[in-house]
Amino acid sequence: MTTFTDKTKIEIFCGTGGVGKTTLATSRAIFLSSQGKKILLITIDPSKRLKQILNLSESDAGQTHQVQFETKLETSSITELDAILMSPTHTFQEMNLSSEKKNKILEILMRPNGGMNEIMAIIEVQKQINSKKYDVIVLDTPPGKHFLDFLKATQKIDRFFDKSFVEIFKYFGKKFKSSKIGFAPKKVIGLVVSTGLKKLLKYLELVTGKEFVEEFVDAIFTLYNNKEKFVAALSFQKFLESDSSYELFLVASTEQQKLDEILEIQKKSTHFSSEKTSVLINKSIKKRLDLVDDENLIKEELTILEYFKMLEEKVSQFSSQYFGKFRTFEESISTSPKDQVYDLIKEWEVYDKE
Amino acid sequence: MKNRLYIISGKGGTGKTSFSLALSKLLLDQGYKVQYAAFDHEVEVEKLQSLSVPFFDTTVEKSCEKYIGLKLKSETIARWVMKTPFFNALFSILPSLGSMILLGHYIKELENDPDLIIVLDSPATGHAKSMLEATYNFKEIFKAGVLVQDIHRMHDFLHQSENVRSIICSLPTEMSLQEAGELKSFMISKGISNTDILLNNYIEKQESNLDFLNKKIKAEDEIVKNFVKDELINFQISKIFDHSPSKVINEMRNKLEGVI
Repeated sequence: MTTFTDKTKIEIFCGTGGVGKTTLATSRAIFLSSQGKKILLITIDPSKRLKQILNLSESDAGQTHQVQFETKLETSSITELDAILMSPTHTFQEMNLSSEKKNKILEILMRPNGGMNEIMAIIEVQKQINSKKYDVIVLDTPPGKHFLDFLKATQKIDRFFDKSFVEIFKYFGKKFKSSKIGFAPKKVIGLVVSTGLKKLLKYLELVTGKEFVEEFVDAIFTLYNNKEKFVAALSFQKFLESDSSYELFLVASTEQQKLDEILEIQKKSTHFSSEKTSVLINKSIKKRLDLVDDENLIKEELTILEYFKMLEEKVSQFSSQYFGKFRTFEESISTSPKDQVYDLIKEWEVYDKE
Repeated sequence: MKNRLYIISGKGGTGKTSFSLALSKLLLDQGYKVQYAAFDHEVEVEKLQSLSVPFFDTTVEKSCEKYIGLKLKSETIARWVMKTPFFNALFSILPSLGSMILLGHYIKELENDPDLIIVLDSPATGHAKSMLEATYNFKEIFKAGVLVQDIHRMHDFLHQSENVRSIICSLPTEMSLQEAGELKSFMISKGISNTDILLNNYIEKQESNLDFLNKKIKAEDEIVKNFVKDELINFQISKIFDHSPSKVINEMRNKLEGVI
C-alpha cells in the first residue's frame, strides 16, 4: 500500500444541493493558488457546473487541466491551477485493468450516469494524493446524502471484496495460475457451479438470464484480478482517520436552510474530527439587511424584511449551537457565475487573515 | 385525463419536495387518488401526515427484496438471497440497479391500479439521470431474461406521453436555469417528451423600497429574460415569504391551481 505524503492537504466542501458549494470550492482553489500554492481542484458533482466557471468542456472530463484565472486581487493578478471534472469512464480507463477482453458490463457501468461516480471518485482522489504533486487538493463533493455515499465508497469496495467472497475467488485464482488458463469465462462458470456460489448464481440467472451470468462472472474476475487497484482507494479512509492534514467545510446557505440535513451529514461523517470541521454560511445578506432603515417602509415590506432577518437569525443560531467554527459569506450581487467567483475570492482573502 | 406519473426533478435546493407535495395536495383536492413517492431520500412522515398526503412507505432495499421474491416465487428465498454478502455487495456497488428496481416498482403499482397517480420526488439532477439511464444500461447488460422484459414494460409505460409528465424545478439563477435546460434535453432524449421547466421562487414584486430586494429583483429579471426569450420556462411560481413548511406548501398548492 502506498504511503501518503505529509505535504498534501485536502480541503473538502460538502453540503446539500444548491447552497453554492461548487462556487465556494472553486473560489477557494483560485484564492489558494494566488497565494503561490500548487492546487488541484476536483469536482465530483455529477452536474458539472464547474465547467461553466472554469471554461472547461465536457470533452476534458477526467483529465487534469491547467486553468489560468484572473483573480482581480492586488497581490497576484493571474494565477494558475489544475482542475479535474470527475469522469468515472476516464478514471476507469486510467486504472488500466488487466483482462483478456473488455468486459461489457464494466464498460457500461463506468459511463457518466452509470451510477459508479462515488466509487470512482474516491479512487481518483486517492490517486491524486499519491501523486504528491499538490500542496492542497480542493474537493467539491456530491450534494447531501450522496456525500455520505462518497465516504461509504471505501466500505463498499471493502465489502465487495468481502472475506467469504474473496476466499472463493482466491481458490479460483490459484487454480487459474496453476493451470495457466488465465481468463476463460466459460471455464470459470464450471468452477463457479462446483462451489457454494452455484445456488446464488442460479437465482441470479433466473432473474437476469444466463448470458448475463457468464458476463458477470467474467466482470467479477476482472475486478478480482485487479483488486489491488481498487483496494488502494481504501487508504483514503485511513488518511482521514489518521492525524493528517485536512479540513472539512460544511456549506449551508441563508436562503436554503435545510439545517437538519447539515446536522445529519455531520453526525454520519464520523471520520472527521470536530476541530477540523467548520460551517460556512453562504449567500448571507446580513450586512445589507443591517443597512436598511425600516422607518420609511410600508407594512408589506416590513413583513418581507422580517422574513429575511429571521432566515439569517436561524442559521447563525444553528451554527453557534452545533458548531465551534463558523463563518458567514456575503451573497454576491453579481449575476454571472464568474463574477460571483471574483466576489468570493475577496471573501477568502479576509477569511485567511482572520 | 390526468397523467399517471409526475416526475419532479431539478438541481438541489430548487424546491422539488415542496412542489411535489403541493402538487400531490392539489390533485388530492381535485378528487384523484394520489401517492407521493420520496424515492431514495427519507420520508418526512410528520410533515406528510400533517398535510394528509398519502405516501409510499418503501425503500430501495425493501423494493428489491420484494422484486426478487416475485421473480423467484418465494419471499423467504428473496430475504435470504438479499442478506448474503454476495448480493449485498452487488447491490451496494451498483446503486443504479436498486434505483431502477424501485422505479419499476412504482410503475408496477400504476399498472395494477388504473386510478392511481404517483408524484415522484426525484433525486437531484445527476442522480435523476442515473435513475433513468439505468433502465437503458441494464437492458444492454442483461440482454435477455425476465428482467429485460420488465425493463421493456417500464419503457413502454414511460414513453407514452399521456402517462408521464416531467417537471424540472429551477431557481431564477443562471446556473440553475442552465442546468434545467440540460436536464430537459436529457429527459427528452430518454423518451420523456412531456417535460416542462418550472421557474420557482422568483420575486413577484416589480420594485421595492428595500434596496437589497430591488437589486435581487433586477438581477433575477435580467437572467430570467433570456431564458423566457428562448422559451425555456414553461410556468412560474413566485416566492412565498413564510417560514412554516406546511403554510408554504398550502400556499404553493393555491398558486399551482391556476398554472398546471
